[in-house]
Amino acid sequence: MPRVSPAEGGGSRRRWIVGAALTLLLAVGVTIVWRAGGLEAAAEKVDRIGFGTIVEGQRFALDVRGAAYATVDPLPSFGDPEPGRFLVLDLKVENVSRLPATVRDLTASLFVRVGGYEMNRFGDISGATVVRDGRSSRSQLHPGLGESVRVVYKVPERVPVPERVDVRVRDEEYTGGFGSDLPEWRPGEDLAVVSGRVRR
Amino acid sequence: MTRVWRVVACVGLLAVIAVVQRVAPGPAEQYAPITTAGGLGSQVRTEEFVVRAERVAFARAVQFKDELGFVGEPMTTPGVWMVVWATAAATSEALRLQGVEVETAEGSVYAASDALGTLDKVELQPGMPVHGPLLFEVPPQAVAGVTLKVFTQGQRGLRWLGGGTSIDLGVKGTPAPAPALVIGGTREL
Repeated sequence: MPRVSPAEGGGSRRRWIVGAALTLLLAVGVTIVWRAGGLEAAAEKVDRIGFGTIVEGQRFALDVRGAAYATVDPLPSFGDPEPGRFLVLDLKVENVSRLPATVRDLTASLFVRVGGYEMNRFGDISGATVVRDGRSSRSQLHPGLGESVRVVYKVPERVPVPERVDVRVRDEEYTGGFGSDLPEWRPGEDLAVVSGRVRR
Repeated sequence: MTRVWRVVACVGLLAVIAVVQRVAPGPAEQYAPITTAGGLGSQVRTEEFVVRAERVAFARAVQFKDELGFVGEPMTTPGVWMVVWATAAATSEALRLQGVEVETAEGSVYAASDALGTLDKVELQPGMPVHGPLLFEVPPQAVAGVTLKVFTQGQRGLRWLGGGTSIDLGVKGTPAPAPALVIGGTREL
């Protein structure tokens, strides 16, 4: 029967412990990085396209049809339209997912830049609606049903009257996240930057 | 030989783990609302409310008629309007049916229209049934086999493990929608 000296036995046990600890550390590290999305491929360069081109993601397919500058609110919420500085975006939008969505969900994925200033996706919007039947009071985007959508942004005084606009379109993914496995819409990759002239 | 059997056992266990991971319900299924099933004309009861879907109709445009008999402007849709007449009442506490949807056979979900005057906008009182329309905009080719889902929460994230209904509306084939449909509002029974 082979005998192991106490010194050899202690060394072997130590090597096992160090090996197991390193493996565990590596596994924990890889898991954390993986769950945080760190092992995903780097995003590719985003395409720059013009108005009239359909950009399709996992939630919306949209086509920016045009942009205009207005000095009177085109979507007054109540009473007579107020004067001001407004950027109007007109889009054709289809909800390509299986779940209901709203215009607010759409505008949260649009990053609009004019004259070096990026509009606040929430605070700078003065109105956003589905335009149908001459009304502008609807906000729902149903799966598979295309709609005309108008979004109006307030242009801050310090920003020059816009001549061009860039609309960066970000995708959304319906998936679980780091904090919860329950699925919800989460920010995805940038799909495209739609650029065009702003009409007066 | 013992070592071979150990390797076989390990591979077998790994295969079992892989199969269990594949067939086990995901988080969305584990936490899905607990729905009570029913059909058109049947009374479906949950802990919080009772609902009965009674009739379904399709139209290209709808117009609301108010209590004085005035008919509003037609509302169109890129799909078709599906109107479900239903009666609902709360069971113990006043509530609104804020999460009303139809789900197609393919799994697409259509929220009830945000138009005013429908049953899902009314506050239901316990034991006091209210009758009225529920409005949906749907693609006509997708309505065969739709089910009506009713929840008390509009936000999907607040419905996990809550109560709800799943009512088969008995729609078969592609409907022939009426050009326009005039619908009344809600009324207490």
